[in-house]
Parts: sequence; C-alpha cells; structure tokens
Amino acid sequence: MMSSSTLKRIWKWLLPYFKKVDGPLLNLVGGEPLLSLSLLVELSALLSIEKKIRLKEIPTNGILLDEGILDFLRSSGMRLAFSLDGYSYAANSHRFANVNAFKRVLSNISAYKSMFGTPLIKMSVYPGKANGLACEIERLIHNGFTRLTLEPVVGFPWHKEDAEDFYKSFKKIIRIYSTCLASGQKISINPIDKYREYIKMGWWDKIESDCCGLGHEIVFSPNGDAYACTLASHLCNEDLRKRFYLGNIYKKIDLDKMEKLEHLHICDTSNIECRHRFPNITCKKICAFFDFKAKDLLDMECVYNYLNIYNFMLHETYRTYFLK
Amino acid sequence: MGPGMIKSPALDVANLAALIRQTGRYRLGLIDQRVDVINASAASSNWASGLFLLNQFSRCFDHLLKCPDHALNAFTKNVIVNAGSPKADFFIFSISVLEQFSLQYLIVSLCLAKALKVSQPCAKIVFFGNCPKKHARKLMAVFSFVDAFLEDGNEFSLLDYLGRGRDNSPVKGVIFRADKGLTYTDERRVLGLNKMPRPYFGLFDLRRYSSSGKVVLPYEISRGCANKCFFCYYIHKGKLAHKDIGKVTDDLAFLSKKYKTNYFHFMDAAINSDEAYLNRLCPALRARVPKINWSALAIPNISKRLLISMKAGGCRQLRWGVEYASPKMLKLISKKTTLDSIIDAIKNAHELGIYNYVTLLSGLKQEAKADIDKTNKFLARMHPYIDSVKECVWGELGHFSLAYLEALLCGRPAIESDKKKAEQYASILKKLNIPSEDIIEVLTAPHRAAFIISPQDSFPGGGTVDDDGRSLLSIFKAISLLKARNIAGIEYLNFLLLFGEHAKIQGYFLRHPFRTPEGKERILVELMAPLVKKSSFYFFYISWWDRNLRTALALARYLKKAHPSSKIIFWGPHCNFYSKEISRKYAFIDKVLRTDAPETILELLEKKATVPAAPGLMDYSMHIDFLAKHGLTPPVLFDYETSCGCKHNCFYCSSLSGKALWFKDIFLVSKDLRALAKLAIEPNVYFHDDALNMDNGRLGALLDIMAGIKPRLSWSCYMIAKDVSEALLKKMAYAGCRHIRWGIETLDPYKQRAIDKGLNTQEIAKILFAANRHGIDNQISVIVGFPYECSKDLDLAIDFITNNRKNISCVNVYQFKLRRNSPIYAYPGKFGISIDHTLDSGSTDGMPFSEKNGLPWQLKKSQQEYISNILKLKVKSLGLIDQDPRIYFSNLVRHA
Repeated sequence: MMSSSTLKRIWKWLLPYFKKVDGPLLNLVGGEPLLSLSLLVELSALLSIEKKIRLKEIPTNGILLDEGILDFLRSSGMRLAFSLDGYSYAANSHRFANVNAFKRVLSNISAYKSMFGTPLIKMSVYPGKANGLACEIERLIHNGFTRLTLEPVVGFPWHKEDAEDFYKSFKKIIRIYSTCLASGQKISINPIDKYREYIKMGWWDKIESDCCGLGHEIVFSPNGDAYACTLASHLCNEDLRKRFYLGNIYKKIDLDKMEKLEHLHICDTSNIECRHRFPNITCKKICAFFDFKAKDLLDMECVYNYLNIYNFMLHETYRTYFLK
Repeated sequence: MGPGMIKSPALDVANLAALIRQTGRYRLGLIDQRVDVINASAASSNWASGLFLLNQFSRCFDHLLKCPDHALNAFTKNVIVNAGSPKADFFIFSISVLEQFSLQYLIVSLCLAKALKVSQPCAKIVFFGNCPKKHARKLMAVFSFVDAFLEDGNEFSLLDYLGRGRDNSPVKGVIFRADKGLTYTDERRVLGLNKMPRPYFGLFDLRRYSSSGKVVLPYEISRGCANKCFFCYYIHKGKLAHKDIGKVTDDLAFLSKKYKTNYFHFMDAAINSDEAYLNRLCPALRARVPKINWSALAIPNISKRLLISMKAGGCRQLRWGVEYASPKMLKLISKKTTLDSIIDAIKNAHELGIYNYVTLLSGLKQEAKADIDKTNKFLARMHPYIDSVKECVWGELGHFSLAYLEALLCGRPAIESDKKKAEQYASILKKLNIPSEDIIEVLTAPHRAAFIISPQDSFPGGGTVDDDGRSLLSIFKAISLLKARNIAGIEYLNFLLLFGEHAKIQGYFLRHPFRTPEGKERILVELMAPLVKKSSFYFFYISWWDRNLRTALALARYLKKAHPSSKIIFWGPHCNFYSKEISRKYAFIDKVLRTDAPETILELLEKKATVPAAPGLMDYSMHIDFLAKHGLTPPVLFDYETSCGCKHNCFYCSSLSGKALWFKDIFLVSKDLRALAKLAIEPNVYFHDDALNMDNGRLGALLDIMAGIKPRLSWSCYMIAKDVSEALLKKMAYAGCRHIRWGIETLDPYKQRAIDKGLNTQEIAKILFAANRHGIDNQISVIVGFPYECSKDLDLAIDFITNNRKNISCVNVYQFKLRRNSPIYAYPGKFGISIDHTLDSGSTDGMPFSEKNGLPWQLKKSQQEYISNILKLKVKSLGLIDQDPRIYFSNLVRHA
C-alpha cells in the first residue's frame, strides 16, 4: 500500500505537469483502492484544492462498500466503478468466493445507485467467457445497469475460437445497444459510445490515446516506482519491465523516456505483420504479447487475435454507424 | 476571256493556256472580267449596270439574232474599251460553270463575241467549255460570228484547231466554220489527262484572287463523273479518268512552289469516285506535299477510314453534293447516297475537323413539298456539323436544256421546267445561323482563336494568381507555335489576373455575397463577355482540380449562344482526365482536348494533321501586352520548361506532362532565356520541367548558358534528390538558382524502393544540406496517405523534417490521390487496392479506393486527412511554412 508521504511526494511532483496539460486525469488502479481509505481521504483533500484535476471513477469490486464509505464518497465527490463481469454469479465466479459474496456486492451496488445514480460497471471479458457476454449485458441492462464498459482482458491467451465468440457477441451487443437507443432508453456502452462520439467529431487522436496511454501517461506503484504503462509494473520479465521503467519518485523520473514511447511500434520489436493502421489503437500494445499467468510470451496467433479484437470493436462500430 | 465558278482563277483557262503556251507559237493574253466583279472594283460597276440587261435572255437573243439593242451595244462596247480594246487572232471564250454549261456565261460571251467580231472581222471567235455536242452544234448553226466551238471538252482538240492553219479537215472534238460551212466529225479523241501540262496561272493577277490573304488554286485530279444524274449536263458524266498519282503530286508540288500557296481546290466532280485511287493518293499527298490544304467535292457515301486518310493527306473541306435529304429524291437522283450515308459522312468529317460544305438542290420538277420539309428537318438536325450550305436552285447555275435553248432562239416562252425557281431553304438557314459562303471563303477563312483563363469558381476567394504558372506556360506554348506558323487573329484574355487585381470588382463581390453560384457566374459573365471578340475558336484552359470550371462553363455557354458557329474547346490538366465526363455533360462544348500539346491546337486551327514539330521559341509578348493594356502588375515570374515528360514511372504519378521525355533544343532554350532576361530588370524564371536533372550532362550545359546571361536570371526548378553532387549544386547557385523543389514523397525505405525514383533518406539529407550551404532554398514535398500507410510513415516523416529543419525552407504536405493515368490506377490489384468507381464523382482530382486487407475508402480518407493534419501542424510548430511552390518563389524574389 502506498504511504502518505509517497502520495504527497508524487502529488507535488505531478502538480506542475498537471497545470500544463488540458484536462489532467488521475486514475487509481488496484488491487482494491477502497482498502486505502485513509489515502483516499488525503487525496480528496488535495483534489479539493486543485479543482482542474479530475479523478476517474475508482475501480472496486464493491465488497467493501459500507455506509461510512458511502458518506465519504458523498462528501468528497469521488465516485466508484464496479468490476462486474455480468449479472450472474457464474459470470463472476472468478471474482467472488461464493454466491453470498456476490449477492452482497449487488446489494452494495444497489445502495450506491440509490445515492449516486446509475454506477459505471466495468466488465472484463475473459477468453472462454465471451460467448455469454451479450446475454449478461442484456441482464445487466434489464436490471438497470445501463452504464457499461467492456474490456477484453490482456495477458491471457485469446485463441481463434475465443476471438470468434467475442466477434459474435459484440455484434449482438451493438444490436442491443442500437435497440435501446432507438427506444429512447438512456444507455452507455463503451467503447461503442466513445467510438461513436469520437468518430463523429473526427477525434482520431483521442481514440488512439484512450486505447493506449503509452507515451503520455505515468503510473506510480505503491513504493514510488514510476512506469510508462500500468501493466508494465506487473511484468515478471525484468528486461521488459525495464523498458517501461521511468524511475522512482524519491530519485529521478525520466519523462523523455516516457514521451519516446509514444512512438513505439510493436512491429519494430517483433516480426508481427501490421494489419491495423488506422486509427492507431493497437500499434503500441506491447502488452498483447504477455501471458501473465504463465509469465511468458504468448503465441503469435493469440497476439493477433487479441489485437484483432480491439480493432474489431472499432471497425464494427464504424461499419454500423458510419459506413453507407 | 472567261470566268471560273468560284472565287479562284479559272482552271479551264489555266489548262488551255498551259497547253497553248507549250507550243511556243502563240502570244497569250487574258482579259479577266470576273476578278473585277469579285473584287467589286470600279470596272465592275459597269458590269453591275449590265447584269440586269444580261439576265433578260429573250432581249439578249433578240439583240444577237434580230435587232441590235442599244443598251446592250453600249454595255459591250464599254466592256471592250475597259479591257483595253484588245487585238488578237483568236478570242477564246470559256463558258463553263464548274462542270456545267452555263446559259448566263453563254449569253455574255455571245454579246461580247459579236461586238468583237464586228470590230475585228478577221479574228476567230472560239467558244470552249463543257458544252454538250448538241448545244454546240445548235449554237454554231445559229450564231455565225462564232467560228469554232469545242464539243468534247478536251483542250487538245482546241489546240489542234488552233494549229490547223488553212487545213479545213475535220478536227476531232471541235465544230468549226470553214469555207464550205460547218465542219465537224463524230470521231472521238481519247482524253489524255496524264499528258496535260500543269495549269498555267501566270496570266492571272493572283493577288486579286486572294481571300483572307490566301490564294486557292484549282486543280483537277480526274475528269469525268461516275454518276449520271438526270439534271446534270456534264459532258463527261458516266466516264472517269484519273491522272497518275505521281503526276498529281509533282504538279501540286510545282504549283505550290511557283505560286507560293498551299491551298488548292480540286475541281473533280467527286474526289471519292474511285476510293481505291483516293486511298493511294492521300498517303502520297502527305508524303510529297505535306503542307497543302485542299478542298474538294465529294459524294456523301464514304467510310470514316477514308476520311481519316484524306485528312492526313491535307483535306480541310469537303463539298458534299447532298442535293436532298429525301429518300425519294435521292433514289431518283441515283448518286448511290442514302440519308444514313449522308449523315455518317458529315458527322465523321466534322469529328475529324474537316469543314462540311453542303450543296442542296431545289426546283426540280419531281420535287414535292414533303421533300423540302425532309431536307429542312435534316438541316435542323445536322446543323451543328455543317459549316456552310449552298442552295442551287434549278436554273441558277445556268442549266438549260436544248429545248429551252431552242425556245429562246425562236422567241417562244420558256419551258416551265427550265424556269428558275424560288429558293426553298433561305429561311431555315437563317434561323439555324448556317452561312452560305463561297467554297473558297470557307477554306481560307481566317481563324480567330481566343485563349481564355476564367476566374476561379471561388472568386474573389481562392488561390492567388501566383500559383497558376502552368496555365500560362501551356497557353503561351500554343500561342508561340501559332505565331510561328503565321496564324494571325489570336486573342488572349486572362480574367484570373484581370479580376484578381481589380479592386473594384473584388470589392463588389465581397460586399454582395451571392446565394447561389449561378448568380455570381451571371455577373462574372456580364463582366467578361464585352471583352471577348467574336472568334472561330474559344480555348478555355481548365487548371488543375477544376478550380475555374464553373466560370469557364458559364462564359462558354454564353459565347456559344451568341456565336453558334464558333467552336468551344476546353483543355488543360483537368480535361486530360475528365474529357469524357465534360463532353457528355455539356453539349455546347465542341471538343475537350485530352492533351496540352500545342500541336493539337494548331491542328484544330489549320484543320489538318500536324506533323509533330520540335517546339520553337516562346513568345510571351501577348501576355506582357495584356498586362500593360489593363494596367496590371508586370509579371514577377516567367514560366518556362526546357523539357517535358519524365523518364520515371512512379506508381502514383499521372504523367500529366507526358510519359515520354523530350528535351527542347538547347540552342532554342538559350535564345528563349536570353529573351526572357530582357523582359524584366530582374528576370525570374520558374521552370516547370518535371526535374531539371533528368540528364546531368545537359543540365551542366544549361547552367553554363544561364551563367552567361545578363542580367542574371533568378530561377526555381524541380529536382530529383538523387545523384546530385555538391559541385552541381554550387554551379546551380552560381547560375542563379535560388529555389529547388524536391519531390521527396515518403521517408519509408520500403515505399522509397517501390517508387521508381529510387530515393534514399540519407542521400536526400546530404543533398539538402549541400544545397542550403550554397544559399539555395529547399522546398520539399511529402505525400501522406499512400495505400497501407501507418503511423510509422508519419513518424519517419516527422523525424526527417525535424532533423533536417535547418536545411529546409518550406514543406508541402500532399495527400495521396489515386489519379487516372497512373500505374496504380491501371493495376490496382497489384498494389492491394480496389477502386470504387461508384463513388467517383467524375470531377475531383483523385479516385476513391479501398485497401483490400485494410481500410475501406471512407476510413482511408479520414486517415489521410488525419495524418496530413498532424504533419502540417508539426511543420508549423517547427517554424516551417507550407506554401505553394510558385507562390513561395514569387515571395522569395519579391523580397530579395
């Protein structure tokens, strides 16, 4: 867990950079951020002084949510994003020890909802579970969870059949989404929503930067180490980790190195055949090569499948709403 | 004495004169009354007063046969006195009109002959022409003062008669008066056309026959006619003889040289009577007398292939004996023509640029109103393809039957069928604005050509005048060629410049923004039209990316309505690719050229195929005069090219300047550049060559020339960044080079290898460094959005520009456009793309395409725009400008 002094040091270091940037964004990742409530309180105090800095919804699995936290959230203005991979326990069995825990989470979310409105639900899509995705989304929507984001998980092998399942599910999801919109229902499913807005506005650069922050984001681990990528800090491969390591808050941080990674191309570091050129959402996704479970590199086929999934979401959205 | 039919010297007289002259035994003289009438000289005023007398046929015959008419006596006496009261042993009268035997000419000749006989009883009066035998014998029987009459239309017969002395034996082909009375024989003389000497025009004052500064000489390639039209009295009808082709070409070459003319009218009854012969003749004409322009009579039943051969052989005009557009009358006339064959012949000739001169017949007794109506409809339908129409009313040419002659001789009333009828087509010709000019007038008509650059469609906004150098170069290449060929009547109107600097006009348009483009165009046309004179041709130059297409169309539409016989021609880079679309959409445009080659313009004006000639000197005087006349700023730059085309075949290039590379003669280049240097105190030249270093050896020679020119030129050029040594750049700088435009295109090594130029990033950097070291501004161009391009290409471009920032002055970022005529357009599959023709609007510069394993077109277009914007922003952030090269150079030299 990050110490208060580390937090303050990081904050002090970040502030001048935040002031130069348009719409600076702070993101807390875990683990489980709600375990560090005291840090959240400190952070809230810092944010109340620097109102320009926006804090994204804090990810949580929702199990720790209680009245105290809810009060804190109300007073601080912070908000939560719940990691839920569907409305059924089956879809979430990897997250919760038993069904009771899952039911408790649903109850907590319900309490949150009554206080703060429809929460953001972050759905991680695992290979092997993609074929039931559309059904789970339908159930979530039916139960009032109409703010959803989909994220195919990185670091897992996506085989061809998993990718095919995902494509089919995603097409169904787009249909569900279109139907809801057509009936006037307020719904948000990302990345579809985001892609629609950005494509309509021609904000191709935003599409690219939202998909991969490499080159313009910095991540601090609890001990103050700085990385150019969130996932890099979890890498077991020391060489690879060093590629993204930027320094330590207590020593020096190399921002030039961070900026240079903006121009990283995975085709430069591997013999991958470039298939997706525009918008450039997977060109830097070196994380696509990693198997976190096996602590090794994935087969090329799995890498291609993972990259294809990301590009598929964008192109399918484009094809549905913009291609005549 | 005697006339021909059309406004050219009489061939029959020239033929006979040549034959007689050959003997060496006679002194020849010519009394040419007709040329006075043609030129409306003082002597013709006497004719004017006498013509009304001469058209009273009965009165004339009474004068000739019964009682002398005082007025006619006075008239003929006047004519003879005005002609110098000539004395001769033989007075030979020609009484033909083309191939017809003319009553009017006969009567005039008889009146004059009688007067001459009275004053010189010993002189022999001889009549000749295409007179039917029966007519000749009748006339000889009646008119005792006529001593001889040619019966067979063969000049050799007449020569024999002239040389007979006291021998009264019959002479083949001539009826003559001997002691015992009229002597003649029915024995026929063989027509020996190949033995005919070249016609002798030395007796004529040819200057007085010139039309628009040109003399058209008549010539016959054949004699006779394959047809036997019932209304025609041609004595050679039904038989046909041709001269040997070698003789024809020799004669024409001689006549052309001797009489200093390249214009001929072939007097043959129908040039295409023998197609096999004509097929051999035309190539011979092209080979032996390539400069001649000719006109001829033709039967409108002819293949396009033959017409092409004729055009290549110098044919500029064809007089079509259409007669009627009624199938019934065509069948009756039996010339083996049908309405379809007539339409095809005229359309094909028009398409090939051959003038169509149409003759129609009216007044035949078999004619019905329906036949006239059908012919009127034909004219209405075909008038866009017809240049002139002549209606021959029955009797007008003087056709007359023997029965009519006898009636006149006996003083009986004229036979109804022989009386001259009224014109039938005058009103429709007037309504359709079809002229009825003489054949010679059409053939020799001076052609005025107006070259027009209309303002841009976005006027008063849009690009500046500085970036339109290519239009000036193309136009003045054409104008220079026309002037070198002594073509007068050229007009140049640059409304882009004129309005561009006219503050009041600009101000007006800025204060009154128009709701619709049509409203603005109407006002622009109202401003332009008064400055545009009537021309035979209006050449509208449409610049790249059709920036001025709409305004050009608006003015062209107006001019076509005002001058329907004028030809509207669109040309320029946009037209090179979109000629079909423009032609299909705008019927008032007569032709859309697919090339900028000045020879094409010349061909249109000269109406003949032009042998491609090496380019001559550039002449910008009209441009300078135009600017001075309108008080416009003198030109800052002169556009020029020392070569055209490119030796490379880069896959994206549409080869606008031509696939084949040619170089202008360096001597001419030297002369041109020296001339340009005199046009300004600080002469600045913008070279449009695809690359000045296509040949380094030649470039070296060019630089030596430029270094020696005073005042020193300042110039800009395109170069290929390959094999350019520092020594060469140093020499260029010394010779006045201030600015080089480098087509870098891409910094991706893979794509560089795919581009034919074979560039290399390291070498480019070295060259830029060296050029900059010698004070040359480097302007580079980069193309983004190639098929299968990705962000790496962008990164490479950004890195290159950033790293070489100090050696670069200006960067142009262009989006890849799939252009027609490029290799990638021809073989899209080879490049992994497919072209979406359904999305092609037909008027923009670039075809939509999709990457087969990549982006669909809409997304590809977004990618191109996105990358382009990023790169442009980067260029700007580095303090570099992205400016049109010509504008950049203009500013560079202005601020020097």
